[in-house]
Amino acid sequence: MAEPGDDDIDEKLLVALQRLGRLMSSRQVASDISGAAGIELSQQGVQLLRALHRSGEAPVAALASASQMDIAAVSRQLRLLEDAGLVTRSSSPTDRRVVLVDTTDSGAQVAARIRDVGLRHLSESLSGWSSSDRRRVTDLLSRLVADLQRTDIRPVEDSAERQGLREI
Amino acid sequence: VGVVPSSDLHSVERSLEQLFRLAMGRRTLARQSEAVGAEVSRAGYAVLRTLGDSGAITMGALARHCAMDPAVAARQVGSLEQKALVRTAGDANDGRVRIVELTDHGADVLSSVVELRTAFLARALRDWSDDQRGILVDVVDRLVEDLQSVPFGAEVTT
Repeated sequence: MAEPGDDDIDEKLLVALQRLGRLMSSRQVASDISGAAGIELSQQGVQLLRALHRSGEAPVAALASASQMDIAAVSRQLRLLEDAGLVTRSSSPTDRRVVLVDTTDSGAQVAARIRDVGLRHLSESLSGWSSSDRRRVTDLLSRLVADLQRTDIRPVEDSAERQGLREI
Repeated sequence: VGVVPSSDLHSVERSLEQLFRLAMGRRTLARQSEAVGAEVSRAGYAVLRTLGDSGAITMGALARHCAMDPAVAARQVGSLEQKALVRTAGDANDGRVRIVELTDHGADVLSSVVELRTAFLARALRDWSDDQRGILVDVVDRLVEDLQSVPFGAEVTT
């Protein structure tokens, strides 16, 4: 249970995670990564190509849901990836209404290259860490993810009340 | 360059990716909009957060702080202005320069979001000791700094 005085550390953590999030979602980083991998892709394009590379052939709707993007945005990005020869789309043999998407050989190569660039960057970033510090970041981050995944986002009771007043 | 075991690398990479999806996903955003009673995009929140930290600033400075194209920042500001979350005005000294700031409503929505996220984190981490939470903050801060200081290499030799 939260105790008095906890707020401070939670806020610090929020700021720290926001910095991490901003870094990972920054367009600069996305263009650095794709630049280093020798391809010009948007951040969403990179995200989808990698998700597809991990999952293998998948229906567009499943891909959208796995990457938490809306279908319209996914379709737009897939069109760009298709034009660049990185993915193919086809209708499912069992249900013509379902569109399946998969990486082409060159799409799989690009996805692997992007992954290598990211891993190498991470490896260099962590190279100054002692092995016990690395173990610590590994353990804490996976525990954090697990705890975030099983926690619902809902308003705190008292702020929910105040919220009611604000909603005009 | 020290050698980082690949099991560590893959674990951290996987966690970062999951964190990213958790934080940026549209499900998360939809829940959040519902809870604070205002529909604001991810980029919109970045603008609100920046304005919350900076106070009134020029459009140019805002775009720089948010690492957005000026056109993208202008579009975000336009949409936030329609929702009465920010207001813009010409600079008193130079009418061509637009100044942006949060409205009271915008400041309220922003603090609701911060409150919501902090409470969410507190609930997610309720089984963690203060010590463990403190270590997590240190570790994430250090990770961000190191990730920022290392450039992305041009060629991968594998």
